[in-house]
Order: sequence, then C-alpha cells, then structure tokens
Amino acid sequence: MLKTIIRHGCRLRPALNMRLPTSTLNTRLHTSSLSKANPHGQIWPCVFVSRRTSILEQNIKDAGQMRTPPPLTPRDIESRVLRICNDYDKIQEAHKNKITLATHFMNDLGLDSLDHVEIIVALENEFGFEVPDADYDKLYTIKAVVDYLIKRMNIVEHKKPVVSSASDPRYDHHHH
Amino acid sequence: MSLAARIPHTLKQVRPVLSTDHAEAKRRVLNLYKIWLRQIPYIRVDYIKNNWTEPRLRDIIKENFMRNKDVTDVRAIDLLVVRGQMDFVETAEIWRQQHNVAVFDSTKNTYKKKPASFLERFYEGY
Repeated sequence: MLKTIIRHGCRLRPALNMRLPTSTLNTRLHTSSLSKANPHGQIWPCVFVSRRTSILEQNIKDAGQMRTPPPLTPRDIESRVLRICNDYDKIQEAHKNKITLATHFMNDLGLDSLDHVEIIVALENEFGFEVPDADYDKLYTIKAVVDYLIKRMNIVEHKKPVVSSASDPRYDHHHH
Repeated sequence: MSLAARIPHTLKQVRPVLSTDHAEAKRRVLNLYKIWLRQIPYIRVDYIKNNWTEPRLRDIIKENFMRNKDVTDVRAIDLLVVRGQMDFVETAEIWRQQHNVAVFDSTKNTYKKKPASFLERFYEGY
C-alpha cells in the first residue's frame, strides 16, 4: 500500500512524467531514482506533501490578509475620536473620561488654541490626512470634529442587507 | 492747506509685515506651532543627548510660544513668527549643537541670570 502511494507520488514529478512513455522499465526507473534520492525511500513524498500543504496554508493566509476591511461607519469614527481625546493628557487631568459629543474644547475643558492644535495633530496622525488651517475654527466641539471627518472621508452608513425569501427584485423587471 | 492734511488717509496706515489682520496672524502662529509639533520625533533623535521625552518636548514648545502670549501688535507677531520659522529651520537642519537647542528648555538653560535684588547686585559688583 505504502509503496504504491510512493510510486504515485513519484509520477507527479514532471521530469519523470516526461520520461514515462519513452522508458519501458518505468517501475525500475522509479525505484532506482528513489533509492538514489534517499536510501529509505519513504521520506521524500512526506516532505513533498508537507511542503505543498505549507505553501497552500501560506496562500490561504495571504488571501485572508488581502481581504478588504469592512467599511468605516460613523460609529467607528466617533469612538476613535473619543479615544484620542481621552488619551490627550491635558484632558485627562481636567475631566477624566467625562467627555461627550457636545463637549466644547475651550469652554468646557479650558484648553487654549495651542492645545486645540495638538488635538488636531493627533487626529491627523490617526486618520492619515491633513486638516487645512482654515478649518481649525470649525472643529471646536467633538460633534463638529466627527461630522467634519465623516464629510471629509465620504463615509456613508450602509444599510444591512435584508434577508428574505422573496425573489430578487432586480430580475422582476424582465417579467413585468 | 498744509501738506499733512492733503496726504490721503490710506498712506497713514502702517504697511503690514506679512498679515493684514489678527485672524491671519493667528493662523500663521498655529501653523508654526503645528510644524514644531510634527518635528518632535526628529528633534528627539537629532539632539539625543538632551534626553527629552515627547511630552516634555511638547511642554517646551508650548512654553516658548506662551512666552509671547501678550503680544498684540500684528507686526510684532509676524516678526516673532518669522523668527520662530528661522529657529525651526536651524533646528531641523541640525545647524545647532545639542547645547544650543537645550536653551529652549528652561530647566536646561544654564545661562547665568542677571541679579535682581539689591544684595545680589551688590555681591556681583553692580
């Protein structure tokens, strides 16, 4: 049983496959080449199979990494902005995690315009684009920041697809 | 009619250095502050002997900006901004030495302070 498996494994090698129809002593050839490759003759197909499976697993892993991430929702933006503001040390000193969407940086938290710029720089680092200086005076509350980011990044809330037993409405046009 | 009366009113206005009003000057200041903030990790590496942490560097930069917080003249603000930009270029291009940047940090500034009280001035020989 094991020997036949080994032989089948050998036939998968392209070089031997090419030689197969021409050579009359193909069984001899297999055994001889096997014994030349390694004396026991059992290790080689195992190595072959394990290498092949490892390549396959790597491919599967790569495919998983290349999958596009789920689209950002307004709720994601909100939570990320709140996390950044909570991490900022001067806010931590003043109001520990009492920040809501309506919080005003200057009136409620007592920050000055330089602190405001620091928060904007942290936001730029998080979201990866630059906020032009003309927009600074629009971003005084957390709600305004979230709205601004949603507008800048073109984030739309996608509705969840409704699963139903009804036929696909796209194809109904042909029938009517 | 005297000459002063015939000069048009617009000529009496001061020519601006860079900014025409306070809003523009403020924008320039905030831009300069942002540039300095963005430079913080590089300052840490370039002047590594000063052994600054990032929060400390942020405090230093803010302290240097707040030193001029009471300046209200737009032209004066513009000149300070220009000086800040020149300081920035010198720091970013490593035209300064380690100790020369340490001057920004008030805790590392080892320049001898001028005596203030009477007795100190007396000891110094004023």
